[in-house]
Amino acid sequence: MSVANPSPSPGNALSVPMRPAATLRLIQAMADTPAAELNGTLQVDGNPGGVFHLAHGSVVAVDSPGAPSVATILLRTGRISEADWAAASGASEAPGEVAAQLAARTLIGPAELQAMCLMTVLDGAFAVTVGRIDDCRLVRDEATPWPKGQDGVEPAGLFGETERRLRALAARRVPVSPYWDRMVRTGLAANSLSGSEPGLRRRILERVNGRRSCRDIAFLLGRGLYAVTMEVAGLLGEELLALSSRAAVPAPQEEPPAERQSGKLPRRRRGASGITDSLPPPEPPPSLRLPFRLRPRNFGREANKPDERSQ
Amino acid sequence: MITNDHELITEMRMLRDQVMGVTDMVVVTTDGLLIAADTGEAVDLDRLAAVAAATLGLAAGSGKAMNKGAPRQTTAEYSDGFLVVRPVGAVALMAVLGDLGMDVARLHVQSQAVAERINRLLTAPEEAEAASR
Repeated sequence: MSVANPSPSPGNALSVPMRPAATLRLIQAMADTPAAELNGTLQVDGNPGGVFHLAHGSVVAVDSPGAPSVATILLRTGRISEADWAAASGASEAPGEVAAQLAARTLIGPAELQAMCLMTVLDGAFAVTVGRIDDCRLVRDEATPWPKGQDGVEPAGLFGETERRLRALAARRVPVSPYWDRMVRTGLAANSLSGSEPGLRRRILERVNGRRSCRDIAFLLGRGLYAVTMEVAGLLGEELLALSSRAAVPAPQEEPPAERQSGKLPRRRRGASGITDSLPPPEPPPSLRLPFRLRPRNFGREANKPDERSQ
Repeated sequence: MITNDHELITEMRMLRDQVMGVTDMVVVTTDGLLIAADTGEAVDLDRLAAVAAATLGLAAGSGKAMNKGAPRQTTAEYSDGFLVVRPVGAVALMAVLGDLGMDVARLHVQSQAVAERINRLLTAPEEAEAASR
């Protein structure tokens, strides 16, 4: 369910200041635009960034690496099979056609699918605005192929709900970044898991392993980013989880280390590995030196944390 | 032959932090010998190393047969995520596993710089030794 992004032209591309508030203002500004004139995309650069698809004045979809799409949710929750999705989405790439195909195959009802689409729009807007925003452009495209009857979210409503979600997250006792924070279970979590911890909380606790962010767990579970983030914030507040070391928030343009700024290549220090103190030097391959101390094969993994590749 | 080289591990973790959806990463010699890993416990390192080397080997052979030159990156999209393999200099490669929402475009940009830095880390001792002779 995506739309081909037309190339922005000077006449219809609008640059705005690089602040989340600017994006929210732009969404607000869209609300004042006559609905019939607003077709196209709002392309947000940043991390994770995303694309808001606009049709007839409403936001009908938001694509972002920060939040699961409808397809991800349907597939990860086992609601439909991969084969069914491929068959439905392979019939036509036009937006709205996938929904019709799914309904025709009685895989999911149109009302349920519509509700999921609206939910992912709200979640996608949260995912984009809670991240870093560098720039955004409104690209008008009158030829957007979204069907006329496609329901969406009015920009004003989307603006209000996104702001409410951002405030709600910030107001939690332990605010958590959905992208940069990673969590570990505390001793209390073991008791909770052995008891009757319900639903989403249990599934989150089971999947926390010190490597995953809220966003990663949302994709694993096929649940919304906002729902998972708020549950994690609650678990942190109850001290069932604790924050692991926070990843450094990537800057828009990472500064190279001082050594590289000076134009010198980084150099390994001779003997820094200590290999010469403990082991005879191994016979090196002809073209690659690996002068590192050998370690057990589980190095680089977080110890005693369960992992899961699939459900 | 897996290493605990701090700089190498740091490079891999930085890529995981910078690119959303990256779950696991290994650095492997071109013949499939594991050098370093930043992975969850469920990943079979030897299998991933072998698969990565074979994937890039196949891509290199295909490129040669079709006169398209050397591979810069291979990206396989599966129903449950991605496997991306990229050469690291002439003697190694890196393999990245990602979930369904992985930011492939950002990975393409970031992994190029990471591959260059890892290549320097792997080859710098040899260069330094040659320079001291």
